[in-house]
Amino acid sequence: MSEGTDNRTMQTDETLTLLRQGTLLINLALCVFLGAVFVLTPLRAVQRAEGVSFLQGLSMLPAAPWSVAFAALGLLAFVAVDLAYRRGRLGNGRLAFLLEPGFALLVILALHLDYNGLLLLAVVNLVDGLHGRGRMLFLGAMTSLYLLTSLDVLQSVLGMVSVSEYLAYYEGQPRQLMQTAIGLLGALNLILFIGYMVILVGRRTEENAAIRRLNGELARANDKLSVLNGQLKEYAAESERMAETRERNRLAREIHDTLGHALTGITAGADACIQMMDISPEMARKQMELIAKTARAGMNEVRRSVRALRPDALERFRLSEALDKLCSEMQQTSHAEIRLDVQMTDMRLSQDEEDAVYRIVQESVTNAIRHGHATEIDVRLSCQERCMTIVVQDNGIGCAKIEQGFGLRHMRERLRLLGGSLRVDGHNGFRIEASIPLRWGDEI
Amino acid sequence: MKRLLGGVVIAAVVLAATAFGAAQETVLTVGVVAGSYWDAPTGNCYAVIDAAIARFEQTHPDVRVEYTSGILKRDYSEWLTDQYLLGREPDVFMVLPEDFGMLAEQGALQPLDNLLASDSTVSTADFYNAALQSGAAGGVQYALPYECVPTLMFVNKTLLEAENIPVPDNDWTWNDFYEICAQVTRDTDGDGTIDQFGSYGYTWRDALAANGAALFDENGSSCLIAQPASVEAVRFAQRLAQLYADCDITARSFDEGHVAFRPFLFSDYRTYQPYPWRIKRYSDFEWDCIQMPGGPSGTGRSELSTVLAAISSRSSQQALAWEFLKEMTCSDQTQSMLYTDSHSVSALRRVTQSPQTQQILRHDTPGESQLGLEILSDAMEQAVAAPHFRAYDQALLLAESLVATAMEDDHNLSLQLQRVQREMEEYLQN
Repeated sequence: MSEGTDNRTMQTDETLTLLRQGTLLINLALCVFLGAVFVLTPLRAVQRAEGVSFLQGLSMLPAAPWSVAFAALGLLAFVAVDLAYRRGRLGNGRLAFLLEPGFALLVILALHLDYNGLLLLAVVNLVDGLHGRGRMLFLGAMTSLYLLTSLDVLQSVLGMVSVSEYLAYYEGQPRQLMQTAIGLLGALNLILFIGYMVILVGRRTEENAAIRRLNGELARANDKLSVLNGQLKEYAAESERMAETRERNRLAREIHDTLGHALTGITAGADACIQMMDISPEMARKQMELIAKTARAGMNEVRRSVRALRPDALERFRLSEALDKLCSEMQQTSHAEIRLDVQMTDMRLSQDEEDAVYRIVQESVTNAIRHGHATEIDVRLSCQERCMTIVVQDNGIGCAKIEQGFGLRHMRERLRLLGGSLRVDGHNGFRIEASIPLRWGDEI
Repeated sequence: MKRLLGGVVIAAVVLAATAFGAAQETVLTVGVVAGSYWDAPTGNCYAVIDAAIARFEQTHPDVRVEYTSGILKRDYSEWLTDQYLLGREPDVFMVLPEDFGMLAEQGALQPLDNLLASDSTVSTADFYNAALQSGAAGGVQYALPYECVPTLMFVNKTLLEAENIPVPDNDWTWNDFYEICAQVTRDTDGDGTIDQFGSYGYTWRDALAANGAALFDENGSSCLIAQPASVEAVRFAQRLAQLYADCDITARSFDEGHVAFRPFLFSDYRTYQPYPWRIKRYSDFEWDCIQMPGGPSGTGRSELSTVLAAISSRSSQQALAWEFLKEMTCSDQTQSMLYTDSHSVSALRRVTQSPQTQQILRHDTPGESQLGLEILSDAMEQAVAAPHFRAYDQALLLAESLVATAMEDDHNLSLQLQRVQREMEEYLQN
């Protein structure tokens, strides 16, 4: 149930309590007033020696004034029972359903059957504590009692004198005032009773409506949930497929990065060997040794790649050291001058970021040697405003139109995964500029 | 456990209350009028009731009977209704004729039919019928007659003797009455004004009672003044009144011996008959009492005035109250005391007809007076009870003024009475 409904229920509860207390007050006032009329009117008549004319105006001998004491006692008992019932002192409270109407009846009889609104008060007091068949029985019994006590015939059969006959003893204006007061209070009691019942029924209807609404909402949520569940399943399947593709791509990249790199070095070294064989077999032998070393390193890398798909260099060195090693090895195998400028001391990059940086540098340098035939390569890493920039500039032939080869595409893919970007320019040598936003944001 | 305790406490309280109540003597309250209802002077007005209480307390040792003394007749109605309104009415009390209708109608009086039927010591046949009927309403006996006073005709014997007219018999009729009246009404000293009259104070209501007619039916729902017997009675009263059309007759004329007949309450007769009252008031002439004259259509003679005794319907001691009511109304001792200590008549036939009563009456009556058992008992037998309903007194006042106006019309009396009846019924219906 929502908070708003709770508030409303609490408000109606307060209204109901207020109405109940108002009804109680009105009933008390009316009973006291009627009792006063029944006691004081004969006393007044006796005091003024008008007993005969007063009695002549009555249809019956009225009950003795002290009989009103029964009404007072009954009223007290009625209120006491109600208090006890409300505080839960009556056990299961079933006693109240007998006692309250009983005492109400006592008061009604003691007040000459002139006012039976007390039964309505009993209904107001008790109706909320009953449900289903019990409530129907109770309401039926109270309705019969109310109708029965409303009968004027009963009044004359029981020899009771109505209050209007008492009031007839008074002069015009006081009589009218008193009659008006009685009528008004009686009507007010009835109105409060009806108001109470209307609000009570309204609250019940509201509760039912709220329950129905909540049920509907629950069903809708269930529907939505099952749709989402289906979507989730589809998504999981898709995601699995994507992971597979990604893994395949990664493998391809690894093969290209490790094996391709080693093979490039070997090819370049072998070419140099072929030319040097005639000039200096000594140099060629050295070169051959280098080639063998590179081939072995490549071999190792492939092995490890296959085992853990993880670059060996990065495993053993920190990124800057790995880059240093990479550059010196490349310089030795290609004779190009590679200058590495790392403008940062320690970067707490995550694993995939380190991988990406290493691979981008490796790929760029390889490209510069293989395609650009460059003799000078500048590698610069810098970090500004939580963005890492890698610039690789060579003095090779460059190219007017950049063909998207496997290597470049891989670089872009890696960067995209990290949210970075890649810019290439082939007009003045070849320039690759990659930028990676740093996730951890630690200043270096 | 709690409930058990509560039950024990309640039982203890009830027991204690019962024990306490039993230890105390029961108090029975009685309402009595001080003095005579008919304004007849008496000596000790409580003599009869005191004696009755003494006897009752002797036979009921645990019971104390109390009454409030000093409530005069003019205050009694108010006092009784006040006690009722305050819920403190006596268990047994006297009921004045004018209050009976209201009290019976409002259920203030205990119906006595069952008590009468189940009590073998009392029978309704013991009472004169009219007296008993005074205490009945709607066929239910609510009260028993305590004391009655019939109306008798007071006769100036000296005047009749002077006119050579014998004192009429007890079964005389309107004709006799009218003839004598016509005969004696004349100018005796020859000064041109009539100075001797046939009657004084005989009204159309006396004629109505004599002719078996009634002004109202028993429960006051309709007026019967236009019935033939009623018209006959009113016409007689009209004829009689025409005898003294221009004369000014007063009570003084009767006292001075100038009037032959005057209706008189028995209590007044008893008051003025014995020495010294007799000498004081009517020294100039001999007088006697006879029955009222009978009308052609009726057997009744006069209206009986009855003070009743009843039990409150709310009395908590019905049985004791009934015993005391019997002591008041059905006991020979109490009722015979009415003749010695009061000026009224007992409604019990056996008391009124008893030799002692006869002796008492004879003892009080001088030499040749006729009044004795016969005429008193006959008057009681032939009397009629006045109706009693709530608005009786007011209705009677209105009827008296209306009929008086109607009687001024010599020719169309029955038509006039029709009009009166219509007006009265309008009044009664509202």
